Amino acid sequence: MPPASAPEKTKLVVEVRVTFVGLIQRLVGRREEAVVLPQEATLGGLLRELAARYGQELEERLLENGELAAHVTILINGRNALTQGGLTAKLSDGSQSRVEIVLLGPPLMGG
Amino acid sequence: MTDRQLAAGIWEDVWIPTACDMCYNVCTVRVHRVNGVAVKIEGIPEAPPNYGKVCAKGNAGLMNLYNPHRITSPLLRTNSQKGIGVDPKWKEISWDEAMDLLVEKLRLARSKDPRGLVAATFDRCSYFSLRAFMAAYGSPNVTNTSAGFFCGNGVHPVAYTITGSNDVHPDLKLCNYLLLFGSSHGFVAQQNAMGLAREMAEARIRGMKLVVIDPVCTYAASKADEWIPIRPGTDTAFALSLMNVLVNELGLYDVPYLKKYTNSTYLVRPDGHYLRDPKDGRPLVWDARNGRAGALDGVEPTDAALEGSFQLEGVKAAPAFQLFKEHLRSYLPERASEITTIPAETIRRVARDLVEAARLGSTIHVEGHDLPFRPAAACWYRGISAHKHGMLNGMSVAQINLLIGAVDVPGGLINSTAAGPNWRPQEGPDGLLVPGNPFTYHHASPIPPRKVKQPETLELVELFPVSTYARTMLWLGVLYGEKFGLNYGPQVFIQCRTNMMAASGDPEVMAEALKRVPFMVSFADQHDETTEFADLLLPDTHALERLVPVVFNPYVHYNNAPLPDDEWCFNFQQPVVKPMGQARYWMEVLTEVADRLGIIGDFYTAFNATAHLEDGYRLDPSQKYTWEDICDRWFKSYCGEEHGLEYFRGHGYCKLGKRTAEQSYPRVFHKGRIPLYLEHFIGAGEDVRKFTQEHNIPWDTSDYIPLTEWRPCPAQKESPAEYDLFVVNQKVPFLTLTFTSENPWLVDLAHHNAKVFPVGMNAATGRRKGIVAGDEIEIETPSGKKVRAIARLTEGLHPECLAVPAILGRWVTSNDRARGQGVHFNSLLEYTVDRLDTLSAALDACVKVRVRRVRASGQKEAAIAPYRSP
Repeated sequence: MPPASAPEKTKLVVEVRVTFVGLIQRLVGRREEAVVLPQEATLGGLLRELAARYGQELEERLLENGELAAHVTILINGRNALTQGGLTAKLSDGSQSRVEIVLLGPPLMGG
Repeated sequence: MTDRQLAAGIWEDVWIPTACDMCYNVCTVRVHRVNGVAVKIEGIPEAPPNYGKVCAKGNAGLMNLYNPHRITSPLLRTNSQKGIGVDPKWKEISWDEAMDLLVEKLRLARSKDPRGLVAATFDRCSYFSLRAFMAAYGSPNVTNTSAGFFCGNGVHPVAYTITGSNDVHPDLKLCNYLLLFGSSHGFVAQQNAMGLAREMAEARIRGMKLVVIDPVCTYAASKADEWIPIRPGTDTAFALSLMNVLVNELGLYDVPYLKKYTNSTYLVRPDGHYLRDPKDGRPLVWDARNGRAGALDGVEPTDAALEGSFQLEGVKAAPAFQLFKEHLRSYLPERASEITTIPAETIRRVARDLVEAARLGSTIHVEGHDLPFRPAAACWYRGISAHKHGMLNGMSVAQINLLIGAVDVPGGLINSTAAGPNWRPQEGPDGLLVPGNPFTYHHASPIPPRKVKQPETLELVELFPVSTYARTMLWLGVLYGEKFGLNYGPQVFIQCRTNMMAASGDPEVMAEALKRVPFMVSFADQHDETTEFADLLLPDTHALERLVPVVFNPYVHYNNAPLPDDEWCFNFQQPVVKPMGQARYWMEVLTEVADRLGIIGDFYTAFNATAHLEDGYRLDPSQKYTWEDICDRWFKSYCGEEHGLEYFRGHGYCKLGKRTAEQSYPRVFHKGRIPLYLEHFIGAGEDVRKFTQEHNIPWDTSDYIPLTEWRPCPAQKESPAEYDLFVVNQKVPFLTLTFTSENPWLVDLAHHNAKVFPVGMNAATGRRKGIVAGDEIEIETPSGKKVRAIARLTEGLHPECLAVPAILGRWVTSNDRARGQGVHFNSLLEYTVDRLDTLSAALDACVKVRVRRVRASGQKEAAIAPYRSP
């Protein structure tokens, strides 16, 4: 994915505080990250920006067939991104957003 | 209290609502407590999912609670040697010492590689919190058992493929004719044990005809209208032949259903792939009205051709159903009879009875909707899934339902685990059905197939693109991970409420795998075959001593198979009595461990993600919560502000409305089609083949075929002629799932049942071999595995089989009357990669043996030596 274009200074921006939970912490080497994006930015835009920073492996961890991978749950301001449009979900209506990216193990089910 | 009670010394007499935990069905119950002692367990008539019914195991739960051999304090292993029958030489230590040790081991392992932590539990009530703990720690290696032996692994991927849900079951409220293949559905030894037993009984009273196809006259078969004994591992031949009769002999199948709701009309090229629109890549169908190919969405289903052969720009193509129909022709009942031993006329009769019962073309009015009415179904479970070709077996039986138009419509085979009111199946790639759960979407769904990639998990699920999970591989991954490119191994293993040494594959293989783990901690309330390998053994609570909410969660996790019109419901477990000794609920312990590891904030975040807590109830990573705080928020998030912990303490459960027609019978309400033709298998197989060849991994990809076919299991193909009998395993309702061998009531029940501890042999076979009831026999597999047992002769068994009930022959139990009694079936299995179904990861339970008499009935000798003795 190409990196998201840098926001112009005159445009409104949203400051996204990203928290990495699980194995992904090891990949990015940190627990939290601040990302500034245009205010209309979507989750897809955020992930493109993170992929630009951390490389293809991060992208492969988070996406599968162009969608969020099965073992990834992303909370946007606490709410599951899948209930808000997935990759097209808007990050915030204001100037700040909190995104938590959780890498889960397989679901416990069956017998 | 009444004066009379007080005079009798009774100062307390109360009933406490809670949930049973003697198996994973977690029925709602209430417990009678007198003077601080639990004295009786019974159901609550109005409470789902069991509506007042409690099975023998549930009634016997008190015996586990007050087991005098319970583990009541932390124990440290002092013997560095590990193995089957090796005494751990436990030393009692304090909880402080135990926690220090556990935290140190986990911290060290995490600093090296967090993936080195492996956790396994069958404690259904703790799935969410364990998954959150493992996510916070950073390991993907979490599983709920180790070898999928209850369902056989091959059930769920098929259920996802045809309904988009985790499981399927017959619509017992409306079904009039039911075929059960290798299944105990409705006969206590399966999901929603008591709820479905009630439904099955009512269906039978109503007149539903039940036909059971099984090598053994099981509890289900013994209550059926007809038991059809079948040679093990040949159900697919029966199913394909039955479909051949429907399609090519009777010409009776549901044409409108196939055209509208399956991929039967998709045009298929000679290479097996769909013929696709060059513009958008969507599959094409043949528009019979206009005599040309058309886009899938541009042709009325009624106009799309089911049969024929067409030329399109030099490419020959035929509808998928045409290929299916031709494929079936090779399964003449006469041929199937040779494979299955079922008479050809029986196959034809069953086919006719089934399709007549299906009432093709009929409709029924449900909640304002006119829906197809197909009161007939074919259902399957572990009996046909736990085979080398388990997924093909399941798909074949599933296809019977497609042919008669009975999937997800009234009366037929319907989704049972719809993940709650939020779930809605929908259209995915190629117009095919995908799960529509807004919280998990295609989580664990086999369709569309997942991309094959370098394995990272110890269960190597990355090599199983059409499975739901691959937990059977976990211990083989532990043993041989480097062969699959894994660059790490297990460091710490957390085990709770899953006895994989007894309940999984060959214990010798399991033992070698467990010995590879440098540090193992078990949470348990009793010693068993798996805790024998632990380095640290921590006392766990009994279900009547702990607080655990949301025992089954209809919103994001599977439910107890609610039938149409059933109620969505939450229940919970609460402490009825104080924990024995120093027992602590294991997830509370792990929450404290998370705090000490400095990952409690991540645990809370992961918990928010797994439990899907709503606004106002999520856990703040910067705060600290007690377990009761967490439970309270959890309840309120799902059930509303007025239904918090205090509400549950008083009521025990909370109903949230009934399952609607759209939830029960979603087939007509969404566009996602069901693949009768498994084109997606071709690409998935190519993907697996490419990867495994590039990485020099020997891997069987031959089952990735678009049209199911019968294939013999290795045992059938490779066993020398003198190994002339199959060993088959059947479930015993009161010994199914967990916590049985310790329980004196259940073991007593087993001793009073002549069918439990002996091994069954067909009476005619016994006469032929000169074996009579009561003889001691030796059973030997081609690889030299041997067990001894007492023979029981019966007419209720296929002549080519030996019947070994339940998981017996236990070698670590404090109950003297259980130790060494019966045969441990799993000890006869080959737990190797080449015995796995490489589609579903099912472990093949097909074993052939030879038998010889070692002691005549009545001949005096010392008690039979158990197969394994410490």
